[in-house]
Amino acid sequence: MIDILTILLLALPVGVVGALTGLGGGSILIPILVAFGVPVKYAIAASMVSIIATSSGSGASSLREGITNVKAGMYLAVYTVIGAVVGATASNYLDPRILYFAFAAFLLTSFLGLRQHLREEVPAQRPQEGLAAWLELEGRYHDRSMKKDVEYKMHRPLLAGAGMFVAGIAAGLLGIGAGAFKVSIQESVLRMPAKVSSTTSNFIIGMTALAGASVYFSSGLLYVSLAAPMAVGSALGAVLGGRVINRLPNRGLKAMFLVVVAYLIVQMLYKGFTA
Amino acid sequence: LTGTHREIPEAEIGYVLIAGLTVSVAVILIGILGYAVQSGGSSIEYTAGWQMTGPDFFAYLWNLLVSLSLSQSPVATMSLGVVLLMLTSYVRVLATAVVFAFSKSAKYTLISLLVFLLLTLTLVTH
Repeated sequence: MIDILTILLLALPVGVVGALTGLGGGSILIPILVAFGVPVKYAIAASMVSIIATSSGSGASSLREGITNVKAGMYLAVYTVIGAVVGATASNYLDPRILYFAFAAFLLTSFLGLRQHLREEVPAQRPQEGLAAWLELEGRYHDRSMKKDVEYKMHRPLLAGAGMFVAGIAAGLLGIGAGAFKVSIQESVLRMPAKVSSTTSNFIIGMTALAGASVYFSSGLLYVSLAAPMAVGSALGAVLGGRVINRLPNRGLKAMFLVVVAYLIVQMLYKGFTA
Repeated sequence: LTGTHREIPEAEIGYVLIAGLTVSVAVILIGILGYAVQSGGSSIEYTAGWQMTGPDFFAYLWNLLVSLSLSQSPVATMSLGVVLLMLTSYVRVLATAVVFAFSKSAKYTLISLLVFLLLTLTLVTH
């Protein structure tokens, strides 16, 4: 039987990957825990705490480096938190199988879209439309791998908001952080650079996961025996990931993200067929 | 832009996260070590004593503080660490609103306060 120390050690590399890709890491950690005999519902509930730890650990480093776009993060958080509450409330009325297929299709579309931009280190600049300019959705950070300051402007904030609302619903309904959806929307719709997208997704995902975790307090599925070591391992791993992300090329991060998304598509389809 | 504290106001939020994370991870580790010493191992249990449950987040936090004042059990210490971690995520939204208020960005102060309100409602009603 798995023990506390083993869970802590398993969560550590997941925290690193979570910080680098902008995913909470729940989708990676849950199947591993289940393989070790942890009941799936307990693993999902504890993974919410793990996502919060990844978000805080990653943010601790990336916020100080100015990579995270806090304005975009807060704007998008409005949609995703409302979506998470709607999703958690609607989970009693919707068939999760339909959702698994719908989100597998969405991830596949994102995968194909993002693959087209794989060679692009930073999105090409183009003039901003009115709302994006009014919301001040732009930024600048010093890229250590490129050894220069990178400026970027974001686009289509309403479409991105709608996408984030859906991502929030996915998080609330399926008990996931939905980081893959958030990163895809931020890169494909808003046209954020990969590093900004990963760190901003991690900034948002902590808030969505907090809303999700609160639901588990009343359900009695949250066990500290799982949540505590997962939190420590994920937090330490995410701090490490947050410290190295600015030294890695955007293209490398995109490639890593696409590998994880491919894995998630298979996972969603499998769950859809077996749910 | 070189990533220094003075040039990035949002860096203040990073310091809130570091403080919250350091305290919560330290408290969890004290709990884990206490449990290992007390039980002679670190096996996982799914019994009522390990459950983090209550009518809502704040009610659970209150009950936890009361139980910790009565007996400093390692499991309750671990639970306190997890709750502190969650509180860090909650407080940083408020910290974000404060940072935007000091930056004189009324738009994003209001947006941050809206997110804080939504999270508070979620934590109170679930």
